[in-house]
Amino acid sequence: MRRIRDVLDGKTLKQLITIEPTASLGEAARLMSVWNVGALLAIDDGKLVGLMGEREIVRALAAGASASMTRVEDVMVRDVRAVGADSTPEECMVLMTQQRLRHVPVIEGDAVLGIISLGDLVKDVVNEQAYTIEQLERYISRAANA
Amino acid sequence: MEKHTSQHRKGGHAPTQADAQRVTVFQVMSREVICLKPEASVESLRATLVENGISGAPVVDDGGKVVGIVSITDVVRDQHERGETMEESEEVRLQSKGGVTYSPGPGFRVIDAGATVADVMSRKVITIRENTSLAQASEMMARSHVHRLPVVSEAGKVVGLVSSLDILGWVAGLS
Repeated sequence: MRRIRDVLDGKTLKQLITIEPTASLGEAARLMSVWNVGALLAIDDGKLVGLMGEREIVRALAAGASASMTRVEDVMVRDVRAVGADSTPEECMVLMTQQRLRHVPVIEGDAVLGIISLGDLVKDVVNEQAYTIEQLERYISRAANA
Repeated sequence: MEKHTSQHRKGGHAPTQADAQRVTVFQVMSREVICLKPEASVESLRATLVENGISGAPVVDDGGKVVGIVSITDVVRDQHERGETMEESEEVRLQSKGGVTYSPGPGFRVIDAGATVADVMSRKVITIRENTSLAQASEMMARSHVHRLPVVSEAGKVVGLVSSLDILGWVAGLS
């Protein structure tokens, strides 16, 4: 049974991209741009205190906020939904669809292992299906040769 | 007293919120837009999104006019509803040629080969013009909970796409 930790292992980006809550929106945007991620973990004193996504940046801009004057803590999501490393991709997809989330931190005990995005889950399904088809094709050609 | 104006100070740029109102989407939009046809399969839609690293796309007719918009959330919702995930799929009854009916066990996932982009897309599309400001585009995205806005010509044809990532890139370049 495939778990979220397996999906995390399959990601190219292994590092946790984090930001301090006191950083500016501009800094958050730069970090996201440079690392090509849609969300950052806001960490204060080693603790996860919020999630900062592209959505929050767009909303702030729409509200007339200044990128240099507004801080991450002013706009970040504080009520963060996370999933355990042992949950399944399907459970994660249900959570994301129902709660309209695009990024979810993955937790194991006290540690944050990474962030899973909706894109990661869809990519995983596509790859898994391709793998299954590949295995099936091998099985079929083996059986034909038997 | 020194005069500070964003346009004339050498070596720097003091961004103001007015910049978002002055800059148009024309300056940040992608001009090479991947679009889908309504009759494309959901499988090909999924593959297109993954292969190109995008999270959504406009759906266009043969004339290049926008008829819908589709995103990764539509794909996931569809996957979940059709039981393509390993969760319980809908009760399905299959009939053999001999007329015997049976229900497939949990190991079977019924994938509806007929599902197309037209079945999952949203027909309510918010489009913008090239001269829409970034501030306006952000407002529209925030208000309507969307992450991309097709930029269309007067004839309704796709000429570009502005996504939340493009706006992010602009904000990143600012301060």
